[in-house]
Amino acid sequence: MASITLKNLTKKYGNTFAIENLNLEIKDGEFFILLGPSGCGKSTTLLSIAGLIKPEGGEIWIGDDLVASIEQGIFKRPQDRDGAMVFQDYALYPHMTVFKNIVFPLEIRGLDKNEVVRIIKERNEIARIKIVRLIKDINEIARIRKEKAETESNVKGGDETAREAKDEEDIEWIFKDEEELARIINDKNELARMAKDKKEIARLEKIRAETTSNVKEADETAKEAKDEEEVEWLFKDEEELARIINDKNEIAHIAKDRIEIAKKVKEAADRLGITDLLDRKPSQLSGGQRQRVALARAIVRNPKVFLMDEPLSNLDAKLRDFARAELKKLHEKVGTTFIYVTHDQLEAMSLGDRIAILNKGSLEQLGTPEDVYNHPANVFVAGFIGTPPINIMEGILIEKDGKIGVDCGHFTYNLASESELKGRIFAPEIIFGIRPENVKIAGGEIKEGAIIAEIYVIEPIGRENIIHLKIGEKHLISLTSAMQDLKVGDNVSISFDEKRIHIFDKKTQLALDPNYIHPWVNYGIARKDQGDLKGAIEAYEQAIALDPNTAIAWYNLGIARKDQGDLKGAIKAYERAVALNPKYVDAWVHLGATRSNLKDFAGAITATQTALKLSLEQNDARSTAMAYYNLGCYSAGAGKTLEVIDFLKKAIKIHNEYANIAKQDASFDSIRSNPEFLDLISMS
Amino acid sequence: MKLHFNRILLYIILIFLAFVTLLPLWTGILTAFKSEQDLILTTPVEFPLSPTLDPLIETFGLMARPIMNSLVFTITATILSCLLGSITGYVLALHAFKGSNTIFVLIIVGIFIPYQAVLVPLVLIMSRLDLYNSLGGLILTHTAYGIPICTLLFRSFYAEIPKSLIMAAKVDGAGIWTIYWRIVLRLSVLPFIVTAVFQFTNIWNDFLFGLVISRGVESMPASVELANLQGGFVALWNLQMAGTVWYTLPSLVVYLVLGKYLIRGFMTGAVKG
Repeated sequence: MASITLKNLTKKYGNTFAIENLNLEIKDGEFFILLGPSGCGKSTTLLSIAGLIKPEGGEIWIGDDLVASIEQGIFKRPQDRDGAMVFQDYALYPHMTVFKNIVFPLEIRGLDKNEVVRIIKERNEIARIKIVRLIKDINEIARIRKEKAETESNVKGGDETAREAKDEEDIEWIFKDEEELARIINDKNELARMAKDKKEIARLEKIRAETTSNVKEADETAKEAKDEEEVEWLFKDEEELARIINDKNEIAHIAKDRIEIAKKVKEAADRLGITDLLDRKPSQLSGGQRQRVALARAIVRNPKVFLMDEPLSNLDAKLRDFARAELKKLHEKVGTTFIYVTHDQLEAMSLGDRIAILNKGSLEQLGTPEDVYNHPANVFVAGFIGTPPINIMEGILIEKDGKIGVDCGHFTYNLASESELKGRIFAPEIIFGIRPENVKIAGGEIKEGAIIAEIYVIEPIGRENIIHLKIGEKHLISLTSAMQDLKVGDNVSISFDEKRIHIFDKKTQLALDPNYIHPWVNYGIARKDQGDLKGAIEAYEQAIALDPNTAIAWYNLGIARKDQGDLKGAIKAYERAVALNPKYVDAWVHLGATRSNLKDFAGAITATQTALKLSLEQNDARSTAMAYYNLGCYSAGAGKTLEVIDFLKKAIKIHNEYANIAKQDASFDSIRSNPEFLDLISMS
Repeated sequence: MKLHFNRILLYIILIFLAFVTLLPLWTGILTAFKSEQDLILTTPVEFPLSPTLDPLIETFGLMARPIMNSLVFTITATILSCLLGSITGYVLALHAFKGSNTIFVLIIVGIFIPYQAVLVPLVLIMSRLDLYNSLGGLILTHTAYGIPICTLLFRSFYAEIPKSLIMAAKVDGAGIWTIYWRIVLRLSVLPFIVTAVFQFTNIWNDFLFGLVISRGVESMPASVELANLQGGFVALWNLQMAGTVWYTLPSLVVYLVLGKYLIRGFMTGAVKG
């Protein structure tokens, strides 16, 4: 049991990065999934943890054990890391039986020698106590019997000779056992004592046999019911003796590690229900059985961490569903950290406590299955998770009649919760996403203003129908109940589940999903909208306290501080935000503006130039024009008249070029009609 | 009916080919039982008029010691070169390291070095090592000369062992030697037989090294002794053929015993899970 930590893990193949600066913290006992398309670096990550691949940079911790640190020159071999692995092709040793396969890791690592000695001693002690107890019993029996025999006048010696012969055999057998014991245990004193005990047993056995025979004779004559009871008791004792001899054989085996190992193997085999297969070779097993054997081989050693590389992908579909459930159960029973690599999002969703979605060697999102499904961090995650896949459309955020809407070309969808995205109007190009099950098809008459779609194809998949819809050229998938009566070619009105829409920034591909942003930040924004600046600042500070690396919280904190009049505090917050996310255009813009308010024009120009650079990179006309305009203003403030003209000309040029895009944006027009702007123009 | 006819034609061709193949063996064995008189009176393919064991008995006396010599150094060198080739092939195939391909190429170059090119340095080194005219010298030479081809054969076989098997063993705690001993070696029974038969035949048939390194009876290989049976003035075919029968016997036994494995080894050459 251990947690796993990866710090800045990097692995290159040639010039391409298989993993680039990967940071993960996997909790103790977690079922952790590495999910991604092929070539995303998930297997490389797993093999790095196992020690089968040497990374180019970063650190790997298994529990408190630093197993790889390239910077410190530490690299532990796989055999020195306490991990077990299950491979896609199971990698069973073809020449060994199932038993040998499972026992292999135990044999190789070996039981601790001291442990073996301890087990042997323990067993010897138990055996000795049992023997002593038995001797006492036998003595007691013998005494009683003798008394009885003596008092019974008609008791005669029976079949004594024959019994003695049998006893001699027994003694010989016991001595044989002792020889073996002597060879194995190598403990002369112990052995001597055992031998003594056994000789004693042998002697007592003889006596007992004698008395038994006597008593039997007596019984035959006397036919006493009471005696019969006692004879029964005597036989029970014989069983006890057999058990002790059995125990001693066990001791002999343990000396060769076998019993303990066999027990562990049996335990593992029992857990996976393959006890009947232990004598078979892997080639005699079905795919599902092989997979179980591979799992048994992994769990038999009780490793700190289980590493699984697509263990189910070689099974057929039906078996896979079953094996998935079994695997989940196994994790519950074993309780160890599981790290599981897969490209199958269904497996990931159903098995994982948390899922890390990788793409091209970097982490796209880390979260619970519910998180990554309902709140995908970016377009890639949204598209990768879910079948049928999410509907993705490019669109523009527009503001109409004070409401925010998404214009996807052929239709416009009005957002109910407008406040969170209001700030995005300066860069409105977005990607709109809606999962098929959240696209509702309304029956009946088409209402005024509804989104109208044509039913293109209907795919029945049993319980549900996959409906392919067309809105003009746009293709949309809806997952609806098979009960709904729909016909191909029908025009229907569709609606989206408001709480389930996903909006991503087109440039960064990142989610603008209000739910994904820190709730404290949202809380702050809401408070600010209500005019409660103090409360808003508190909320942002709370967000920062929870996660100081949230750029958006720092940014909002900056805005709130500025509104409060704390310009210096605002600048600090903006600076923090841009330090955390150097591509945060808004933060740079505000940083510039706030600096200019403090008459720090040089600083304002630097910040705005960064904003300008980013806007140009992102090909964002509006932000670019705004940045030029701001630069013009700040240059004016700094007294650089020549540059003012230059910047403003550029601002106007870009504005005119992209006038069509900017049409919906009243804010720029307001800038143009701003008297200050006119002043500047006339000034220059 | 046409199929039937084809069958018959096929068998006729096969019988003819078998006949051509077995003819030398036939004449050889027959000649080994002929007296000097029969040599003159009969053609090589005819049965002897009065079959005799004399040539076999006579040559046995001559060949016994050389055949023992040959058996000793051939078997030893075969085992050693297979083992070393297996280890080298294992490391090169499954534990690739920086420069392992270069090393592999350098080893393979050894296959193409003609025997004649190394004769002088070989004799010099052998006499320096005090191994000249000794079985030890022959063992060392044949082992060294066998390593490249053995490495090549084993490497190509081991390259087909799934990588995951080796990775699994590593994770299970096995080191490089444990993996070799507990897994790879156990999976290479067939390649061992194939390579061993190949090496055995090669070394058994070698004449040049034997001729150069051995000088006396204590290390004389059978191949060299067989050549000596040729005689200076008269070609005593019956003795030569009798010697050949003795000489061929060990190879024949090896092929008869291991033949089926050999075919299987050539056919599969791969591990089936």
